Amino acid sequence: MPRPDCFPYFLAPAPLAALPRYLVPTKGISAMLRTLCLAAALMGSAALSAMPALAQGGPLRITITDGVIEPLPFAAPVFTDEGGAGELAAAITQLVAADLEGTGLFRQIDPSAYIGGTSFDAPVAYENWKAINAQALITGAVTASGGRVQVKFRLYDVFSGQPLGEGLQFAGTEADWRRMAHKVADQIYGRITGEGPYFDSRVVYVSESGPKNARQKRLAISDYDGANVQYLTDSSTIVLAPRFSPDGNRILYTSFETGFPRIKLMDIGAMASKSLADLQGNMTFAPRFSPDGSSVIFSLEQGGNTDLYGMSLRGGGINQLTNSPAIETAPSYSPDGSQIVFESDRSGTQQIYVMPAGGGEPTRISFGEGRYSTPVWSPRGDMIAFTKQNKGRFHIGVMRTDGSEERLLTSSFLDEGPTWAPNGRVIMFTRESAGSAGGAQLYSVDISGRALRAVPMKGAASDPSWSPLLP
Amino acid sequence: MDVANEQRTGMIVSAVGHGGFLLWALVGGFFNAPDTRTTVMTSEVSLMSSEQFAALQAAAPKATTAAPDAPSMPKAGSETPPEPPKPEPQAKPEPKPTPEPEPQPEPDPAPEVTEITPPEAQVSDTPPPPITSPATEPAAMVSPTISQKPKPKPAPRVAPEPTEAPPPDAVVAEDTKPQQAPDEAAKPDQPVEEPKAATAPPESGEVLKTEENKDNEPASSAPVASSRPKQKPAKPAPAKEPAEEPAAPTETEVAQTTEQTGADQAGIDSALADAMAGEQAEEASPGTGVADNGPPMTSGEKDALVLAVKACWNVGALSTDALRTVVTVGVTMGQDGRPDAGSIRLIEASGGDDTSTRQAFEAGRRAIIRCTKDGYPLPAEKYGQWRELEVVFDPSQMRMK
Repeated sequence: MPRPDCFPYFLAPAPLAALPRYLVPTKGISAMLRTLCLAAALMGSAALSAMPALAQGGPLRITITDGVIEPLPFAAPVFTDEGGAGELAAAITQLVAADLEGTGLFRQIDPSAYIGGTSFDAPVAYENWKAINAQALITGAVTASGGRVQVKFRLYDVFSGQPLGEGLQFAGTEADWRRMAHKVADQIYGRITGEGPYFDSRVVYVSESGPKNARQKRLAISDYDGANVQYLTDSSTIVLAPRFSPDGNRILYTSFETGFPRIKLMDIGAMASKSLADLQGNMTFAPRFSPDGSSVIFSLEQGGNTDLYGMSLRGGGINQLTNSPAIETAPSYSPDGSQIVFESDRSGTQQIYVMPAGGGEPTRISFGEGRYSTPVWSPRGDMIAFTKQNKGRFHIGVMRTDGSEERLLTSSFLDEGPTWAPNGRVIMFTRESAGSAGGAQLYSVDISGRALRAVPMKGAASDPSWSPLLP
Repeated sequence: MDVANEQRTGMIVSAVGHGGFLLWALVGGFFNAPDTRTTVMTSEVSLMSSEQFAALQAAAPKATTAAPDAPSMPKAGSETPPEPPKPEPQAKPEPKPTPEPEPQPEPDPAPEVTEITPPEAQVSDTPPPPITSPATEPAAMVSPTISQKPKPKPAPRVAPEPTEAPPPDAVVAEDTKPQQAPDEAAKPDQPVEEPKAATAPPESGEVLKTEENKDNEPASSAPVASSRPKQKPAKPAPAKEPAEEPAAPTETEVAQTTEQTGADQAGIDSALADAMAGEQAEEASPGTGVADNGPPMTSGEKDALVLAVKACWNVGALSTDALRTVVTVGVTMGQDGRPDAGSIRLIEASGGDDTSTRQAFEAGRRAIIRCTKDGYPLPAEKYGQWRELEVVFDPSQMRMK
């Protein structure tokens, strides 16, 4: 009897992990025989695996499968003032460092620990930076004259003693110094992480003021880090859910100007807005641009039923994309424009579905506990961000476009409305605190779940929409 | 004649009397046995509170005197079948049983006994036995619990190392339990606590913390994956050299567990050891063919190198694409155990595009260089073995999902 038991062990080295289970029983001979079988099997497999090593006789090969996850320490000595920069050099340096640290992927080494001085053109004393364990070194120089500013920088991999990429320089007006710092930080971020840039971008959101029961809302736009706020509407009417166009020049939003939710389209440059569709008596909401900016997808409520509709901005009618008695809303295009992800309660609770852009049979992709809503397709196309409500708490999460690898990034009293950074690595969302005095605030989080932080907006803010990267 | 008649009549009377007595004895014996049974039955039915029992004890000074008789009764009635005692009483003990049933027919011999019997009949005596029997019942209740404890005992045997692994509940727990027995027999609780303590570190250490999962870890898959790696660092402790490659570690575990399972497996252990030794000999002989290389690297030496490199492999700043890229980095080492930074090169990559491959390679290069301030812990006599080094950086386990 033990004899046939032996064979599986020979045939299948896979169950090695289950070894202890077979070894634990101490029931005499059979256990012994089993163990001997195992031993023989193990030796067989070990000998087999040893064969190639013997055969090659080449370099020693080791495999590292787990490392450490920690912010990469970098040093950023104040950029050299090469004429007229004054305090601007320090300000730009600080902003670059702040951008990088804000990602959660980097950690600036305290400048007081730096050894020796630096000059932009002088050769780098790598040993000095190795000594303080700086893994990356950023050097730069700033020139300012007549309202024009020029910023140069170089990035070094300290431990390999090599520059990472070529030096670069940006030029602009003195008023745009923040954008130039963002551009420098974007370059450094991309060269070290391999991710796309996103610091030089803006966010449109709903600026809120007043208590919860009498809140005033207006559209505002600012840099991604909350600087340079501009207000696009006054607070006379309630506005909701602004959405950037793919080129960043226009905004779709929902206005209650007529007492009814109605989609409006605003040109940011002209600060002029118009109603999108003339559908009297019907609620339209949750609009979003198609990736090419030529059409809009939105929800339309008719006779108590809400379905998804599409509309061309070049003067076309609307076409219905879904037709079900359930509520379909929060549509979002895939970046290639071929598919639409949206939420629907056709299964009884809110879940996320994907369907072809022209309409068709939707496929449900969310199957976890709780309710899923406000899906947003990543600009990289590989993931979908969503709001999840489960067991009385709200989460912002991401999943792959087939619904796999769901990963919740946050957990709080109320998190909702995710929007992707242009590089698809960071998500911004609204977090509201409990209580009548609670307010909404914008938060950002890395899709790894790290670097959760509040975006320092001025006042309460909600419903963010991240712009594309600025030109 | 008168005398003879008188004797005869006396004999007849005595014979009849004795015969009747014997019959009564037989019949009474039968009746007595059922009586005791019924009394036992009633005693079982009666519900005695501890207070009542205390009251009975206090009020039963007489009963105590009678008690010594009673215990003999319950013993016979309770456990040993009623039948065996019967044959004996037929021989002598008749007087004892008789007094109880016979008080009616023979008032004379019985009077003293009758005084005793009423207390017995009043159940004052019988209750104590029932109490003892209830006492035995709780004992029976205790015994099952005791019998349950032994089960955990054999289980906990192999605990110490696996305790780190068991965060998942059932299956793993079964495996680990046997290991804990040698340590502590009668403490089923502690093994439970230990696994908890052990689960926390792996999850905190290897699973990315997000706001969502920092407090509790609903994710079920993570602990399982993280528990396995933990055992690996534990291997060096046994210091059994047999372990050489992924297959080997399990062998060392086998060895450990077999040691603990008992003397029977000592033979297995030695067999394993012999086999491993033989294998090593095979491996060593071709290695020694090259004089410069020296003996092959042991798994311990390799592990030390792996530990040194991975401590500096920081994937925290890698793109998601780079975290899907496996790169093999080649490096030429100096005799002092320091890598030649200029020789670090990308040998092969899979799973990523050019950009992500470059990021992954640079992270690997930083890892190799950064942790060599004092050189890697490599045996100088085996320089030929590790002069050319290839490091495979596989971030698949570090990838966020």
